[in-house]
Amino acid sequence: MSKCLLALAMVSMLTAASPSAEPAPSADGRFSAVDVFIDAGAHPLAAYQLDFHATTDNVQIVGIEGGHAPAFAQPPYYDPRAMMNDHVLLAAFTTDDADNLPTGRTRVATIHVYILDNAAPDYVSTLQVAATTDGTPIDAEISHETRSDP
Amino acid sequence: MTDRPKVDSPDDQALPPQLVDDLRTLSRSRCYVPAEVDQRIVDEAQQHLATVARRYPMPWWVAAAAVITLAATLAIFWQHQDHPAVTRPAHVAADLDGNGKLDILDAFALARQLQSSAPHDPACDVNHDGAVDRADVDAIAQLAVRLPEEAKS
Repeated sequence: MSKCLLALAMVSMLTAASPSAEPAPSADGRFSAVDVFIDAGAHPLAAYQLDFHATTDNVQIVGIEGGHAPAFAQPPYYDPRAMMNDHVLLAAFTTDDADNLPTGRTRVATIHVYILDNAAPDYVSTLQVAATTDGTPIDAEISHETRSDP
Repeated sequence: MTDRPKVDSPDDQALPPQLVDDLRTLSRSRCYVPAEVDQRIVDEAQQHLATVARRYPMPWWVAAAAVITLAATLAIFWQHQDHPAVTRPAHVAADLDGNGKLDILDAFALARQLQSSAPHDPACDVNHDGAVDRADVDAIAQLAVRLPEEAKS
């Protein structure tokens, strides 16, 4: 019986000491989500790569979600080391037909973040490249919006 | 405390007098080699070396030609070897459109190539598993979104 209690105590100690992927919640911390949009105009959007980072030091990226259009619904490519960081490169492409690709302004990804304090976070998003179905680069615009209710 | 038998210390410098006398006598005796023996050894050595030189006469240009031929052979052999040390790095091989930068368009290009019936370029085997397939597309895409080292905390 005493051995069982000792094993339970050791397991609970190890569990408490192991690092967690989730940020340690604090009284002032909160989760938020940032939608990232690309406006490809009249071109069907087939591929994109973007840079997103926080300019304030109170942000930790905790999750990456795909976009609105079915062609970009899967989470984009990203470096897993971006998690718990404030900087990420996102990229995705699709070989679908042009008829199935979004045109105009479309949400390509949602970035879930943890805000460490009460200060307002600030972000910068930069479009590195966007292309249409044949791989030709196109002019497109990027923007992002913080969701009011994640 | 226990009594231990007394032993000579290794640091003890005193030697038995008999041994000291014997050593002194030994150092006084010298081995005498006559001068004619010395001269004979020198003569025989010179004679032997002259014989060796006559047996393998080699002009300088023969040696130079041998060295050049050997170097050329090694260079040709090295060029034709599929040597892993000279395999292109992944980030260079992944730059399929050759524009000098690695981005998602390189992965996109390979994905479109895989969909077509055109034969696949072996150079696109970015992960060096012997096949050009979707895994290479993913490998290129992952390279494209890799964070710079200085950006990681």
